[in-house]
Amino acid sequence: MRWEGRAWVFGDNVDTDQIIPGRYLRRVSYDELGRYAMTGADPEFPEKVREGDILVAGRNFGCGSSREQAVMALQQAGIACVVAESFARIFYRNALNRGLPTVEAREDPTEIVEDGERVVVDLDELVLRSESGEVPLREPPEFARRAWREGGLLELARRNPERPPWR
Amino acid sequence: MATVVERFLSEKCGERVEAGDVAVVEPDVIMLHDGSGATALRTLRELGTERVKRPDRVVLIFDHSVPPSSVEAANRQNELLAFARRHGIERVHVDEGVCHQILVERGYARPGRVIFGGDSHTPTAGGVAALGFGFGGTDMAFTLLYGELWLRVPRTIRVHVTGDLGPGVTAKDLALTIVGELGAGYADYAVLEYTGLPERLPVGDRMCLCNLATEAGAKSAYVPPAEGPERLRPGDADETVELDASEVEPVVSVPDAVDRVRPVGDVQGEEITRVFVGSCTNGRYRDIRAFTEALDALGGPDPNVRIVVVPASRRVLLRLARDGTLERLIELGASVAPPGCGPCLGEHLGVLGDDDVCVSTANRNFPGRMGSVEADIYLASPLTAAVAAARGELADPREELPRTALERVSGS
Repeated sequence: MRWEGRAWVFGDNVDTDQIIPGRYLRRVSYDELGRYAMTGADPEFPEKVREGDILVAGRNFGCGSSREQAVMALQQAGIACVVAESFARIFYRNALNRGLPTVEAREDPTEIVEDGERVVVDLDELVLRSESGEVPLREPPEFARRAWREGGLLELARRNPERPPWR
Repeated sequence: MATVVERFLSEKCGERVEAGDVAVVEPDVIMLHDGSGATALRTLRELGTERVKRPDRVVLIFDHSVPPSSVEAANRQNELLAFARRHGIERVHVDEGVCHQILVERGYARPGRVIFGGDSHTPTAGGVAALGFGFGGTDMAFTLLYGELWLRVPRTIRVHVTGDLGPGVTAKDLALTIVGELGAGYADYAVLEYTGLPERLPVGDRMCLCNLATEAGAKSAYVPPAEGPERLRPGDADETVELDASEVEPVVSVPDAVDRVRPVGDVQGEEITRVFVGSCTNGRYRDIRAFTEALDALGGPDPNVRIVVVPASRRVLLRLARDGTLERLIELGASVAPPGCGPCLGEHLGVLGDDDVCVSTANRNFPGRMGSVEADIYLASPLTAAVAAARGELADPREELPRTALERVSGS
């Protein structure tokens, strides 16, 4: 698996209130969340982001509330994958379920990426490449690769609801 | 030997599992609230099925937008009620209080149980020696559908607390101090187990500690009951961190991160416009009573401070009403909102504006959490909140409050 796109850089501990502020959760429909993606961190983000863009962040990305709308908002905004030094566990699971690839970097990837520049996330070579350098990526578990390829555990369950996707 | 979580999950799986193993677990309780319930319901529709395998284990609690804060919220809650009726889900609690409080009050959370909840603060159940795990809407939809869910068995980090808390220092100060020491992601994928002093604290304080474990990234949290069967007592731990309670001071989490913890004295004089007392962290009877007594002892609120108090449950509200605390709060000029999450998640009942600076007894101070991204939120104990409400600025409760008021809550 490999993604190439413009990168948007965020810091450590980006929480779900920054990804989708709570005040939108029960005021907008589930299909309009993309218009508010990342507005807790950058109010202009929905205007800047395009289909296929990549988020790059530091440690503990997606901490805070369990809201799955955080993943939906990023997907609707067009984000192809998120590369971070680490992810909060509920966000990681939500992303796995909805098929948003969340790739862990072995070193802080924000050190080598500038906002808006083109980057390559290469899961075959396990590397994130930017203009100024490279950061090695962690090998994702095989079940995660499979889920991302198939569009998430939710999609697997949709095809065969009788059988839990982990069985 | 095994860790407590290895013991609990092995029992549930019917085979011995260890940290790092993937276990498929049938939880004793499947908890959904109006937020995660609505997301789970939508996911079931995406799956094209609406089966509920164990309706007898499902508990549905409306607390996030109660009473409904918008047409969208009202519609989603009505759909959830219809869904519960269709599937014979009988444990439905509407407008009764914050889910984590109701789980304990109603006895759904009890020693030895495993709870899967559609809320990140589900670890709060560790206060009554149950193991609570938080999930998103799709995982909860899977749990409704299959009655089970996969889980990687977490490792255990023990926080052993020696000594006692000094006068004017509360369990909230201890909990925030621990999050500050560990850092926001330290306990990612791990269970935080609190031993020593926490085992002797009242249930509400144990819940407060476990509630804030989420902010250190913990997957679940646990306080062993002081007495009880061997299987509930501490087992192995993969790592132990020690902390001396007598060195804990009244602290605040300063904007915009829970783990940015400072002694109140370091930010003394910071002007405050709002105070929120409530939430699954500190909305219980003793919290609100301590706040009211301290505010009263200081002569009531500063005229520039607006106060919102949200009892964690109807039972808490009733108790405050019966002993006169509610009456005193109203006389002091506080707005008392109906039980639930209140303004904690920035949806209603006291949203913050751009220039507001709020002292909150809840658990999150991220940018935009309670409304405007520009607003500042300081997390604190009910006592520190009372002092801020009275003085219109942050100050150390040990400097401001009379000795008698401090001793009433010492070690609490």
